[in-house]
Amino acid sequence: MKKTILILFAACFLALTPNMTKAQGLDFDSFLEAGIDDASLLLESYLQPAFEGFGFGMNSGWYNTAKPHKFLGFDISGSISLARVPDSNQFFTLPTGLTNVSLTNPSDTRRLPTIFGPNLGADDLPELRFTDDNGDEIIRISAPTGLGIDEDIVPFNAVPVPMIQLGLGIFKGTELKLRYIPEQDFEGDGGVKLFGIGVMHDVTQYLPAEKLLPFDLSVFLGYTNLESYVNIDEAAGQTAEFNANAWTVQGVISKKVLFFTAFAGLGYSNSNVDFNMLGDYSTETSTFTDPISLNYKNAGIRTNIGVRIKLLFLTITGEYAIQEYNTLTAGVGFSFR
Amino acid sequence: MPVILWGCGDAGVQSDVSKNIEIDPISVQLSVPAIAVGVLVPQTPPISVNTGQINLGSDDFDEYLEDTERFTINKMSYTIDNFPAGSSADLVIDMTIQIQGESSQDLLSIRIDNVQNNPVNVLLFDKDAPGLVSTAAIASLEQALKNGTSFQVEMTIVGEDVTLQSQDVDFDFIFQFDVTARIQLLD
Repeated sequence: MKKTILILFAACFLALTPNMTKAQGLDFDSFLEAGIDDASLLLESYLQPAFEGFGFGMNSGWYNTAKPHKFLGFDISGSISLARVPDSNQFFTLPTGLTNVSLTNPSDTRRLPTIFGPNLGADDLPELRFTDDNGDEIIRISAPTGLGIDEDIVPFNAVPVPMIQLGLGIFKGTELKLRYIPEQDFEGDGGVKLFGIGVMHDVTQYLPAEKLLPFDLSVFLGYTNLESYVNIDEAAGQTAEFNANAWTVQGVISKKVLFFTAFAGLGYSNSNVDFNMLGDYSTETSTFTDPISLNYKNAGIRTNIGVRIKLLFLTITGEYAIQEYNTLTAGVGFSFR
Repeated sequence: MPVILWGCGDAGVQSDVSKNIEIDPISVQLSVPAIAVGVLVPQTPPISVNTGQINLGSDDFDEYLEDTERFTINKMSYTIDNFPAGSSADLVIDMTIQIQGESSQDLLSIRIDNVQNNPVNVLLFDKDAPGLVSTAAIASLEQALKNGTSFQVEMTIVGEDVTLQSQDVDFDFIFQFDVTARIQLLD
């Protein structure tokens, strides 16, 4: 029955850790016994902060000043963004509309952790009861635990999003930014590729007395696309696919004092994340083809503040963005001209 | 991405997987002498039956076995099926368990009144209220599950206050085990 156990472990993160298909203590085929619709509803709720957080994180780390590079000036930087999962998204209640999944104990008032909820042992997790279409019990399983990221790595639950990018000054106060990871194949376990492009344009040049202005002011537009997949069972043609698109438009202001540049932005961000499980998945009674297709969309105002320290060519950046998933970004890079 | 992996907290990835498993029916034949058909018989001679070898660990939890920390038997229950209408009996049953390679252990003695009612899902044992069931035998069963060792339940059945409408009456005795496997996947 079980070819793919423990599939819930954030499929978007599986690429580098094939054993993680076995890491969540949850029998995906058992989920399917409860029907595709129920499996989708459960997965959607459980994985929601991972995918939403990833979308918010992708829109971070684009810039650390409002002053574009001079012609052919450039920078190379790497960053890690931590999209903080709101407390309200660390747990979920069983979604309405489930037909074959219920709490074993209907009076159990405990909520279920999402993947970015606390790491709980089986005794502290509600138990789910899976039934067939006749109402007969198939299996009972502890609700999947959260990972408890805040126990070890950072003092809060956050979705990490690493990024690397290049900035290049072109003309008339315009800077082009590129994010690019060519298609990577992880020895048959999965693959990933990333492309992003951004444009920053200085608007102070259009203002009167621009030389007298004590700050830099630009507009920024950025778009990032990530495509990845994980081979759950390559021989069986079972794959998890994770695609994300994010774009943001911002007004950016900055002020440089000695080595320090303080910057702030205000604008709008949007993300769209798809997660699909492709292939045939068999239960004791049925075979399901491409059983899971989830989509997460988020959009809203994004405000950020940050500071950059520049020592010769070395830049060190910290940024905090206020949005649904407040995001802390730290970066380091080299900047010329 | 490894941040995610390393970020798993102290509890690791732990899950309880529980199943209510119905064992293949045991065929039981209650008999009286031909002369006693339709007559109230105070007691029938003891008969012995068993479940045959059962391996819940390997058969029903095979995919989890290597990651299982422990098994817990939550409940045991029984169902009587196909006892024919018109006949009636009470049953006194002594149950023992015999784990492969070990000697038999007493499990429980029960009395089933009016077996002709074909009782369904009658509780024999509840971990929260063990009652008269040998907890030592239950512990041995749980260890056998973890070890993937088979066992059988042996029953000695005596009919009391028996009235049969034929010399031989066949019916089924069905055991149900409610079992939880505690699985630890990541420490």
